[in-house]
Amino acid sequence: MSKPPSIHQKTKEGLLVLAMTCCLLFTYPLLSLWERGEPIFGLPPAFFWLNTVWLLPIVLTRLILRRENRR
Amino acid sequence: MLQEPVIIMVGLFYLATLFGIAWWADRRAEQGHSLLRSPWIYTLSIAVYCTAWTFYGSVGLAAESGLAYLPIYLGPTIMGVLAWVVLSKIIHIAHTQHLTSIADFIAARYGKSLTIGRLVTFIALVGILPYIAIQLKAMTISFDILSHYPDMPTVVEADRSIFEDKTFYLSLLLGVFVIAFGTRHIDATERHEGMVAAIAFESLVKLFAFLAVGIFVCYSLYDSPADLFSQASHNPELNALLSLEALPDGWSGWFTLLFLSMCAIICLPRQFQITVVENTDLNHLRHYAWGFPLYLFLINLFVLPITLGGRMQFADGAVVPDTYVLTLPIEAQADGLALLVFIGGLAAATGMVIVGTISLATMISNDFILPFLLKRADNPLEDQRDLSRTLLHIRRASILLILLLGYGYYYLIGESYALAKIGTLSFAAAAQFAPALFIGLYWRNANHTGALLGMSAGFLVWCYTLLLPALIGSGWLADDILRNGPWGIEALRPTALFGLGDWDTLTHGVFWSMLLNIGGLLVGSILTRAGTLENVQAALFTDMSLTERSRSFWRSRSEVSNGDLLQLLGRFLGAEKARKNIYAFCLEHQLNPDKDEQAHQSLIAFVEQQLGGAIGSASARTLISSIASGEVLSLDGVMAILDETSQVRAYSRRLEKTSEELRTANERLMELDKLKDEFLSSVTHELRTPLTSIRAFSEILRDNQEMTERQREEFLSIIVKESERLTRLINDVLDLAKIEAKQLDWHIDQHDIGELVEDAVASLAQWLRDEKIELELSLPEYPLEADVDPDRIIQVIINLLSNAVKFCPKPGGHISVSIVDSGEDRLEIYVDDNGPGIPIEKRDAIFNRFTQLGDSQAHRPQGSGLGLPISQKIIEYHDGHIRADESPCGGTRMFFSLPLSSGHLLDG
Repeated sequence: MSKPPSIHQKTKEGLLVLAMTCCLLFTYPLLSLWERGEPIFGLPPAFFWLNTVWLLPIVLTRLILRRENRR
Repeated sequence: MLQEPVIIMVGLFYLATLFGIAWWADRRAEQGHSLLRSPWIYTLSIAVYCTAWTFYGSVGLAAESGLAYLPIYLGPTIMGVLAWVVLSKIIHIAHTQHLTSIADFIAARYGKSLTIGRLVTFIALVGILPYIAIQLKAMTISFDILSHYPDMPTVVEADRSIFEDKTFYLSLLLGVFVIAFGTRHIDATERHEGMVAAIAFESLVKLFAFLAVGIFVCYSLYDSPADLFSQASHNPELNALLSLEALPDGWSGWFTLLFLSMCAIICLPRQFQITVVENTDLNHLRHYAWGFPLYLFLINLFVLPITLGGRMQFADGAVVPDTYVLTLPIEAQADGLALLVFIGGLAAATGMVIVGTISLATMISNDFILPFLLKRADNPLEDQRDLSRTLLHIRRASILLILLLGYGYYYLIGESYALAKIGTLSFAAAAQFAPALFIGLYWRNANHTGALLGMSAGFLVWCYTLLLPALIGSGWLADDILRNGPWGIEALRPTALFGLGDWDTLTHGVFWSMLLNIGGLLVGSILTRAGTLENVQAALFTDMSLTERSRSFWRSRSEVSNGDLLQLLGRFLGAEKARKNIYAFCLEHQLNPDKDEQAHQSLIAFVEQQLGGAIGSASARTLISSIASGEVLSLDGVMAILDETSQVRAYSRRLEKTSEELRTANERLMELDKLKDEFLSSVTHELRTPLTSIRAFSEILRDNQEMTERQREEFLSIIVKESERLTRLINDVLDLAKIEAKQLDWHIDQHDIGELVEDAVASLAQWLRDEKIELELSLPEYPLEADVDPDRIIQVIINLLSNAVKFCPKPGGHISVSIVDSGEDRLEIYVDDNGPGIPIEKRDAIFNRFTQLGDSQAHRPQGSGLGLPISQKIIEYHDGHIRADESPCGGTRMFFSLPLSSGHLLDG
């Protein structure tokens, strides 16, 4: 087993901040804000925004770790 | 037409394909081409999280509670982001200590405690049985529905007799399959390459099947997702499912599911098995961190559309929402799609059953059966030379036992309870491991008593507040206790403990169980002291840098030989594998592998870890203790090792600092070396000029005897001048070298600077008169004294005056020298001339060696080019500054400052 790969402190902090942001985004009261308004592209606003916000940590984690790879 | 034999054949063909993939992956691994090198295989295998509960149950949950199914997948998404921070530590520790299950991991953290291992195994078994029951239920229902094709069975018939129940035979079939799959051999790492590859394949199948149904519903049954949502919005009941504010369990239920799923993604035994034990490279977490959340996103994308489609298509409510994924294609008579969905559901269910039962079987055999057999007075294993086969039989029996217990749960309770509710029950059970696991990773003082107290309390509360209501809900027990509490004590009602009845059952149960679990862990740890081994393990788990040293914690007092260890390990891993492993270790650590050689402590620890991989850390410790008759080091001994480690780390830090200083010094040396080369080159060049001149004129004098006396005198005069220049240059070079080497003798004393200026001016008076340069001297009325070397200061003033003379216009030159008390305990000396001045960009450069202003201002350089650098060094030695500026009369102002002597200040 190899030694644990070291991770840049800034990357670690970035991931922690992202995880905490997700905790906030995925719970009340921020979550309740998204269902207001008219359908978007024919989809209910809550359904649309939930899926959109779900993609956020996926994309950001990919970007953060890609930057870490380049270091 | 989908007839029963066709479905069975397709199902068996799928299972055979899985087996083929596993066999092929194992073969590749043996040939050194492991599929697990791919991070995508690892990432896909983690999607074993998505079981039949996801495949069928998400739609069921969404049909009842709208978007309430989402937190089950949002939690793992958040944990995916944290994978690098949390999981990398768990995986590294597990691999370093050869820990092969979550029970093993938690037991090892708390001093390799068998009691802890057993408690975790028991909780896992009780908690996961409902989950296995879900899978059996899902497979049976999907088979029943498909076998009635194209009829739409509204109620699935239940076979009440066990031997007539196809689920029973399905359980046995799965048992045989899992045994063939996961217990072909015993390995110290407990890795199953083939299984992981097959699970990754299953993840692709279920994702593909689910997406296919979603696209079918959105674009075949309806025109588009917008059309589907538009039609649903006309139905107020369906419209409510699209609103977050209409969550039946409110935000507390949402938050509870989010929390449970965050715990479950690591604490569920099968997730721990796949994510931690089967991990081959920590770098795979880079893909897992975003790849797995992306998988979850995709598999959930069509849950709501399928739900709404099902609710609208089966508006009469005759079809169970859990089956919409299958019944919608059947209703539309899409044979192929229905069969694909059946395979997708089978993939989701078998994946969980395979990994879940293998991980549970490992825990049961390592923490219950083996220790029981080993500790019996008439140890039945004692006479067996090779226990690896016995170990395999124990595992296989455990797998069958787990599946039959799962079937028992399904048979008794499962049919009366919705898929989603059973799933949350298991999640809440797995969450009971979270405090001991996560707090134990970061808090060194968490101890065995605390963990035992916390998990026991949490589990009991889980049984009381969640399992009991589930049993009552399935009609197994009277609901009197739910309404009135035990013995009529309302405060003890399982769903409203101490009057807290406003929350839904799940939130209520999770709140109380976690409160007591965490509370028990904290209180128990604070009030009791940890043992020696616990302290060691706590240090190793909380400080990753120490894990590498864990092997040296064994100290043998006995005469245990390499042969004894080989024999012991061989009994569990097989003689050949044991010999190979021990020999490789001895080779790597330069130990004598001879059988009669007394075993080195590191080899004992290695064998313990190898055994731990096969039979669990607690059992391994028991076995090693029995043959080594040794002991773990005393607390002092262990702390000494840890201190030594700390010292090594501190030394390493000091070494790094020294290296940094050396690096800086080296850079400085290289810079100085370069400067020296430049200096030598410049000196050589400067020496060559007058020497060439002297030689040339001397040769002319020698070779031209007919030269006139006047010419002869002129040439001799040049030779003398060049000789003087040469002498001056050599003196300057020597001066500079002495100053820089700090070898110059300084004669510091208190002197009136005015007097020194007058002395310097006097020495140049004749030259000034010859050049017809007017000198203006402006000295203060009172003496300004400084601690200086008078000769050196006079040297500086003469140098500045000489430069001024050289550059002054002739005739008409004007030089002024003034001394000013700056009022800041310093005096300032100005030498101004009315020459051409120095361009601003060259004012710093003139202090560089051999830098002389060009012929544009004077005819040719007349000095050595070292006067100003020497002056600068002298002034800096006296804690002063020197610089060039523009004179008020348009020429150059050379200026330097010196600190006034302290004696002078006192006098003042």
